[in-house]
Amino acid sequence: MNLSAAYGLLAHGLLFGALAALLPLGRFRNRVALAATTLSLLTGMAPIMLAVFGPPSVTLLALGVLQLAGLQPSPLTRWPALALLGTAAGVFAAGAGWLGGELYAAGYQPWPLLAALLPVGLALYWKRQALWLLILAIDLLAYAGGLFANLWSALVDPLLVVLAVAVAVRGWVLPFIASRRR
Amino acid sequence: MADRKMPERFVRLPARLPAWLALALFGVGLAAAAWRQPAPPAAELAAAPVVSLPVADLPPAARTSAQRASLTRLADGRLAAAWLDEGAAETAAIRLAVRDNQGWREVGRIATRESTAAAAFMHARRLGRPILWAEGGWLHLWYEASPLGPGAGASIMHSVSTDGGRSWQRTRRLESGPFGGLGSRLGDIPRPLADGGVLLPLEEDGREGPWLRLAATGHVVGQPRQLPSAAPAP
Repeated sequence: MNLSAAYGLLAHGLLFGALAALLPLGRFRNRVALAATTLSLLTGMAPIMLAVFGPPSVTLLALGVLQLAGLQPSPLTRWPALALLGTAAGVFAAGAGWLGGELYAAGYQPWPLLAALLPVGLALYWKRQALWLLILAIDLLAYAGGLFANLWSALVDPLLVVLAVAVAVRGWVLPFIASRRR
Repeated sequence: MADRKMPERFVRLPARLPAWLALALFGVGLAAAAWRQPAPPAAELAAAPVVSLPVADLPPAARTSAQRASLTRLADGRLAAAWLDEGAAETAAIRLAVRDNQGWREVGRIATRESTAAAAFMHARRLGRPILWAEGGWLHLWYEASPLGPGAGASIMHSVSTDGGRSWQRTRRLESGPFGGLGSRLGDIPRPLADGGVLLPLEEDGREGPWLRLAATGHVVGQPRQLPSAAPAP
């Protein structure tokens, strides 16, 4: 057992709980979320997710924990989702070798990335986005604690991209459906 | 009433976090990340003895493996070979044999789906090609663990033995790409570095990919796309 593996397993379990907490279950919401977390660990769903997607990013875990805690509305609104998608598109394209690979590789010795995050943090402070600033701080502390070898892995992951796509598309699809029904 | 307000207050806590406090935490995180990041010296290739054998000289069980066996020379001069014994999916394993004066002697199964799952908490449907690498008294094993099948990419696992391959510890997944267990696969022959680290070859879609730079401790510290130049001879 190692720290990264333990983190990955528990984080995927919590994400299952957060997914279950999205259901409109009223006063049973917390119990169902707890049951979903437990079941994902016991039935092997969390180990399968860990094997397929790797450990989830701390950003996604933080959003899942906020969902489990019942914080509404979620900080992942349309513009943060689009910003995440833009960043992840670059990282994943680099990881697939399409952009020369340097952008993803920069996460192993992330001086340029840390320098780029400084203005991002100041912009979030200027916009009074304390929650996103806090999530970014936890991402950085998780990397500093040795949970990830690559800083990008603490910031973004494939499941977060799926979530961001869902949030971004919902912003366009729901008004479109509503206008068609009128 | 007080009991009902407590969780509500707790839930609202992150949303009411003062921006200056979040900025201070961000600054701490930034400083900690800058302090923690590795700063390896410029990569320089070290001379590496080429270890190869004709197939007929490999251990009998390794000759029938679909993947080629990986050979390395141990610190005491003996040869060691690791190969994938695919068999049935449930019994697939990486096996190890050591050659001494009496010939090949099989050490046994050094990685299985079960040992991978137990160490890394992740499901492995199939195992893939191994790379064996001796460095001083340490024996490193890298191998692929594929969650969906060989065509869908793999995680790269790393194990270490300090007793010539009899026991293996510190099995963990290496972060080799952003796609988790659907990432790059292992290439052919690692290259040693002058600082004691090693460059591990990766394959992307069947063609040569980047190199994963590992420190002497086995931690990933970089991912160059080109091989560095060789260190000048002493």
